[in-house]
Amino acid sequence: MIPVHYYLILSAVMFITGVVGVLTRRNAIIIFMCIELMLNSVNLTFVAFSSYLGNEAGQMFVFFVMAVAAAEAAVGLAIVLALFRNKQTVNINEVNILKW
Amino acid sequence: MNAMPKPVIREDAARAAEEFFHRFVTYDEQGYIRMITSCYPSHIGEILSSELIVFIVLAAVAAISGFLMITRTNPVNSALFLILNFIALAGLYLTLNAQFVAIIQILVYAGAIMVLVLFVIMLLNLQDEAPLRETISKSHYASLLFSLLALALIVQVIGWKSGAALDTMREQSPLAVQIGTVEHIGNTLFTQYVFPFELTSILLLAAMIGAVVLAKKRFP
Repeated sequence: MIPVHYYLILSAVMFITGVVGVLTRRNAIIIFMCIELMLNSVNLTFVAFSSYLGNEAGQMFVFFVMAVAAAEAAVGLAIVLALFRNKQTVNINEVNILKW
Repeated sequence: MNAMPKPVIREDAARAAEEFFHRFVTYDEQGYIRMITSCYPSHIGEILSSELIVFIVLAAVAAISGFLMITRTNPVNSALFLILNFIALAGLYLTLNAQFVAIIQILVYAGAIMVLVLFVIMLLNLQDEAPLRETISKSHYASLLFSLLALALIVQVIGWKSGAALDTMREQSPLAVQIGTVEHIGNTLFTQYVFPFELTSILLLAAMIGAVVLAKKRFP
């Protein structure tokens, strides 16, 4: 059997990959996809603990996280579309109205 | 008369061959091959269990496709690598006996959400970004450094060595096979978790209205 540590470390690696992507990329859609990657790495942790503890709550949480991710995808992509319509770009360096 | 020693030799040879073979392969109770052990002494004999091979392949695909996702300049390539990552994750869910989550991962994530993302990318007709090596700056190094520090911290908290908090979770719970089935998940979802489930429908409705309003409106 594989110890739960392997899944947790894979999940940590994927999460940090997403963090690096968010911090270094400037394309709004790619930042959005990095957030999806981070959500998925957390889902992997949930499912791993659910299986290793024999408790179904983790898989329930994954279900709800996926519902939230679907809502986030719809709203986020609508925001990107509205952004592109107004600024003709999705580069977040050029979107600085809220920057202080 | 002189043929007497021959069967003895054959028996010895057969036994020796069997013993030699058994050094490489161990069986489970049903007689299936469980793991291919190394010919080296037993401290690394269990390195190559078949479960571990599957895990390593899927984990490598997930990690490498995640890395490629954040390094591609073309957003379409990024999205395709993310889909590959999601499919590898679905395989990992199967190794964790979570069948329902694996199916939902393929249907909802790799199917619905990523199609939406690809659709928006194609709709916007984005050009490739400048390659990272041309735009790299001090803030990139700083973010990489702090992210790796965070990774080291997480690995430290997980505790690689024995005696750590997670040491009791060396193998999956016997209940894992049962709780991952669609039947059990559905049962729990519509009894114990029925209120959050209904709230999810309101959330999705709000998101749908929000998406329509945001994408439709022309801001001045």
